Amino acid sequence: MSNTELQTSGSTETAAAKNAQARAWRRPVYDVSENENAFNVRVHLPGVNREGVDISIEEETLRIVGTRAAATPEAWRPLRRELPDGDYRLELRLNVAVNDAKIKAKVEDGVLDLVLPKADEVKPRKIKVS
Amino acid sequence: MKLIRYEYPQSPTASAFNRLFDLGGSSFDRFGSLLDDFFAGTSGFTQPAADLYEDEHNYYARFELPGLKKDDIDLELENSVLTISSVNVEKSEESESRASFQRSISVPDGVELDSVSAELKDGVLTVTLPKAEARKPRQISVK
Repeated sequence: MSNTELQTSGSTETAAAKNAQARAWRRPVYDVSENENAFNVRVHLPGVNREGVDISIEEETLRIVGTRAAATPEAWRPLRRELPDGDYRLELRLNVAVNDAKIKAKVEDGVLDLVLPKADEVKPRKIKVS
Repeated sequence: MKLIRYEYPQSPTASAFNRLFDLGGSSFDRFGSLLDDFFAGTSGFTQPAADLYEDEHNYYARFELPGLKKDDIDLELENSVLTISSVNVEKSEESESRASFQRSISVPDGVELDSVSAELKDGVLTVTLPKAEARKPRQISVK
C-alpha cells in the first residue's frame, strides 16, 4: 500500500506563494481513492466549469488548475464573506506509474473526477477535459 | 464550551450586516471555510459557508455545494427565514456518503418574498432575494 499512494507535492505552497500577488490561489478539497485498475481523484471546484479546468502531467507531477467561470459582479456589495476567494490549484505527485494515454476527466456540478489508470511508463503529456 | 464568532477580515460592513441578517447558529463547523474540508464534519450536520451580497435591486446569498444536484437541495422560506438543507447523498458504486447540512438565514425586511429565486450552477448556489420597491434607493429631486 505504501508505494501506491498518491502524494501531495510539497512544492504547492511555495509555488502558490510566488504567484500570490498576481493571482489568489485556493487549494481545493480533494479525495483520492484506489481500486484494482486505477486511482480516482475527486476535486471540489465549485464555480468552475468544463472550460475552466486545466490538467497537465509533467514527469511525476499532476497539476490541476481550476478557473472560475464567472467573477462576482462588481455591482454586488459584499455584506458578509465567508467563502475564500480565488481560483484553484492542486499539484499531486504521482509516485506510481500511470497510463496517461487513458486518463479520463469529467467535470460536473463543480466537481472534477479524474481516473488515472495504473500503468508502467510515465511520460509528459497534456490531457484535455473531455 | 465557549463559542466565538469568527469575523472575516475582509468584511468591513460585517457589523452593519449583522443587523440585517441573523446568521443563525454558531460559525463553527462550516465547510468551505478556512478549515476547508467538506468531509470533516463528524457531527454529521454541518453548516455550509455563505457569501452575502447586495446591489441596488437584490440581496444575494451564495453557497458552494460541489457535487450536489438541484434535486438534492431543499430551499425553504418560512416566516422570513431562508433555510437551505440537504440530506445524505449516498452513491452505491463506491460507497460514498456525505454529511447532511443545514443553514438558516434571516431574510432582511423589505424583501419580495414571492419572487425569491435560486440558481445552481457549477456547484455554486445563488439565491436572489429581490428588494421591495420601498427599499430601493431613490433619487429625490429638490424643487
